[in-house]
Amino acid sequence: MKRLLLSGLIILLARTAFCQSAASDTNAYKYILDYQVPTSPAFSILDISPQQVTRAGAVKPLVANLFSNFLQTQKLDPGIAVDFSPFLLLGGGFKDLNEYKQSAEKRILANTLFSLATIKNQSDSSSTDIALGLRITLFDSHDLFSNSATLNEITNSIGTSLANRASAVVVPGGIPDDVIGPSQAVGLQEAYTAAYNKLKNIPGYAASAGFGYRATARNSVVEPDSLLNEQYKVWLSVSRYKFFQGADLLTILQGKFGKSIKPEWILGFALASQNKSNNMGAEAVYNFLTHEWDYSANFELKLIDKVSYVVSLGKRSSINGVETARYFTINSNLRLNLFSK
Amino acid sequence: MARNCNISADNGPVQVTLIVNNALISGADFKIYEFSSGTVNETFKLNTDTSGTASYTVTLSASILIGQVLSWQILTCAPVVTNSGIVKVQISQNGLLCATTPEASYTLTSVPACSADQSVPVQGGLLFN
Repeated sequence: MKRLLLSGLIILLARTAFCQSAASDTNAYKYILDYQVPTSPAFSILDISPQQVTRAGAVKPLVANLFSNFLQTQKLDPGIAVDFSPFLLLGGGFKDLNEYKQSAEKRILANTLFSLATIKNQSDSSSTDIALGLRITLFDSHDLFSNSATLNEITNSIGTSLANRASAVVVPGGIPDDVIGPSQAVGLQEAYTAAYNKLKNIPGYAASAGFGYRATARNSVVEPDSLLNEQYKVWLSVSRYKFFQGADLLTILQGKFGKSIKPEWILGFALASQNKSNNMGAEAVYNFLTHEWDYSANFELKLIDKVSYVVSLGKRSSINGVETARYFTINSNLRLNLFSK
Repeated sequence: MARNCNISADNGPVQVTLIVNNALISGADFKIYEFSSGTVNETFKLNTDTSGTASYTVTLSASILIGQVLSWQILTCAPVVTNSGIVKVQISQNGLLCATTPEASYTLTSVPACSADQSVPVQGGLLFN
């Protein structure tokens, strides 16, 4: 089981890193990155994301996140999360983009993310926290290819850009041989910019539901007997785009369960804004178990392409079941966000 | 193996259709040239719509097309979560498909994301007989 999990993670990471190299130095990339980067479901259940109120929203086909909170721990010990769509791995697909727009069931399946994550246990360096997560995006009105306002326009823009970049060869005295690949850049920045700009000021909703499982693998061995502190989380997240002054309203209802903990429900609200160089937000979270409010301000600063620094300042009464400073804490992490497909 | 398409000189104009499935988007450049000299007589571009198809009616008459080569380069990318599919070029005349051998059908895997500003190119061609 351990080897299977780790092998799967390594293969996915290697595939991501390999494919990413072909897609580097691209401008259009940042628009899907900026458009929505929900916290990895598995990171969410590990409670290592500074934000408690996570986004509902568009899914990336394959995402890898590296995470380090070395500023607090003085240890690099990066956490790794890989998110992917099981729909694709199982051979799912669409007839065309019209079907993607019209078939809500298939779109939900396609936008369902499975997530694996690991990070070294903070109190026992020989143990590893592992998590599995599943996030189902039920609806996202800012999905460029399911929104009537943008589907035809961006499809045509991308297609036209592809056609303009294409160049058929002429072989005097012959017929061109069939050749596929290798991949080449196109210049789709304009198409994405136009669609992004069209949607960014239009109100809309996104909703997603999630399930997560986490455990501490004693001595980093993933076997039933060595799994401790098993916990489960369920959550429902709803985002309202452009709720106030261009900021999005995020809400989350989340329950946490496990043999070693009391059932805990939280209800959280956040105002968050996103742009090309930084994301920021403020959140308030009510804990029905402790009857306490947590609150914080979060900043995500994009340092360089794909690397961002997330810092959260505020009151958070517990993290991962461990009571923290009661009033004012600073949480931060460095996040490397990779995705290839 | 050279690909041929038999058309009839007096059966009306020839239509070229580009088809892609699995919610991919394709855009293509086509050139029609004299087989021996390579002189280009007509060029056109096609890009698929949300149904995955695009068509063009060749302006050169069928009688002139015979003996000429249709060459194409198709660029394809994946706008949503899918990353594989089939892209085809179909030739028809008066509603009848030209049975090209081999079929101008290409199975694509690992199609890059449009949002990553990448595409996979496909090159091919056929001779009108």
